[in-house]
Amino acid sequence: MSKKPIVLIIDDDPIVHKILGVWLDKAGCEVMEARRGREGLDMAVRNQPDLIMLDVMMPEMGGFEVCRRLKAEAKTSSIPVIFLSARSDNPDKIQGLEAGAVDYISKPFDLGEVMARINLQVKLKQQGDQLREYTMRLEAMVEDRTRQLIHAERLVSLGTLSAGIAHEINNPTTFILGNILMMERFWEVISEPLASMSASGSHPKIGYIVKEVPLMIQAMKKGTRRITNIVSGLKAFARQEPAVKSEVDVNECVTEALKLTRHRLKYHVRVVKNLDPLLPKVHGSAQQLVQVFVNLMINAADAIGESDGLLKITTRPESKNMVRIEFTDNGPGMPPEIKAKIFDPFFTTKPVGQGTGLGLSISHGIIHDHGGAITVESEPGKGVSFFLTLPVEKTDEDTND
Amino acid sequence: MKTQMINSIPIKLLAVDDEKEITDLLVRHFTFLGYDITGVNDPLAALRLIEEGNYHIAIVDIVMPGMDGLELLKHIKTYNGGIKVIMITGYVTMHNVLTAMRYGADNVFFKPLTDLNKLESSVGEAISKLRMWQDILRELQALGKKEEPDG
Repeated sequence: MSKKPIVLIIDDDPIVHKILGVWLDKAGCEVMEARRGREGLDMAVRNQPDLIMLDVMMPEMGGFEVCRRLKAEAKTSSIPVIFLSARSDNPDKIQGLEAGAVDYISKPFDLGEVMARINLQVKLKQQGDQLREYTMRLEAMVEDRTRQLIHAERLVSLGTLSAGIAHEINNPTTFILGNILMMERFWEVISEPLASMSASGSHPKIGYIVKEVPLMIQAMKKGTRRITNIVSGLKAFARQEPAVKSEVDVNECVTEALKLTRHRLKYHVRVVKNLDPLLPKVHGSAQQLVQVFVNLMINAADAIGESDGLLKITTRPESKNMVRIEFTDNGPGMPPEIKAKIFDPFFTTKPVGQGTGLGLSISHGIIHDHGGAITVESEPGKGVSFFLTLPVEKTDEDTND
Repeated sequence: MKTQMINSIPIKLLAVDDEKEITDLLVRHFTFLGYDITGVNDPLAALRLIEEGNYHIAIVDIVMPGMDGLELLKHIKTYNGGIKVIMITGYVTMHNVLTAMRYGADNVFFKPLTDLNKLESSVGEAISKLRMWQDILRELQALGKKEEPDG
């Protein structure tokens, strides 16, 4: 252990301090001294020693009382206490151990014995601390993993639900949209005779109707198209069929996605590509990866908005088994409360009708289905970075190993 | 309205979907285009109509209670392989599409039918194929008449 163990001595006798102090210092401990019980309690809370040597007989507050208070206080309850006493009779020892002490040493001290007992207690304390730290780390890991699992579980049940809803919505949408399209054709047939009727002036409202009906039909078409888009988004989100995976060149996918998004990026987003030409192939579905990249590019373009911006796309090997893809824009970035929700289905910051809130949750699903990970970093005013990792395609050589 | 014909025989269409609004839509649409079309909402009734009614083309929904549209497709093609069958479905799954293909469907469309023109042209293609077979049969009949005296 690299850190010097701290030993606090609480004793009204300066000679005890002197003797124990020299010994402990030689043994590599940092020594702290208190002459009174109250002073000792304060120092214990402030300095968190690894061991307390406590005199039984002290003026003002006796050692047993100090020990009881140490054990009652959360900040000091786990610090081991060794009693020092001039008396070596049993009732005293029992009272001391009952007050929560771990050991009881009688004066006059035997140097070897005292140091052995101190070392033992310091070691036990340090091991206990380490155990507590491991436990805490383990608990944090379990909590983190549980949260991830709950999230994944929620996404799965939402996926099943979405698939059902998508199919149920498809049928009514079919006959709503179909009838609108029919009406449009019917209208073509009757609008001309109606227009001439209105010109004759016999029905004053017909002129208005002739003007309005095409707009009404357009509005209904637009509305149903929007429903159609949401439903196809839901279906993609539900992803009933796992994609067929093969050897895929990530750089080619990035280039392909850039072609598809060119019309959205070219006016105001400058794209800086930093693609590693030696990047290993990954195991995946090119179509799905392009879908993810397109989604990230469109989001970056939307985030950058009207102003001129920059999108940096980097690919590089992350490790022997993983490749890394980064998308970094210099848009407005986002606060933590939005960052926490961006992978949630139906969460969107885009205006009504422009985003379904499914793009990133679908991307998240795709990357996880690939055995990879997608994370985001952002701060307001500092743009957004998406980090993706994907597993490298295993070659025959690897599998023979 | 002008009726669509193949060699002076009026073309008969059958629309099968458990939702009346959808068969209504298809009937309205193809009636407008001049086809003789019947809508039916029960797949078993559809099978009876096929066996009685000399239909040329059937438009069949896949997910229906009573009898699956894929099952109906198989029955239609077994009864008369010459009947063209166009599948429509809201359940876009690989299984549905592959099974439809295996059972000999002539086309598959996904709901919502955002573009009725596509369904129309698919029916048009089916008609040209039917016409082709009719022409071949007619040619064969003419040939038979010529050969008859010798035989």
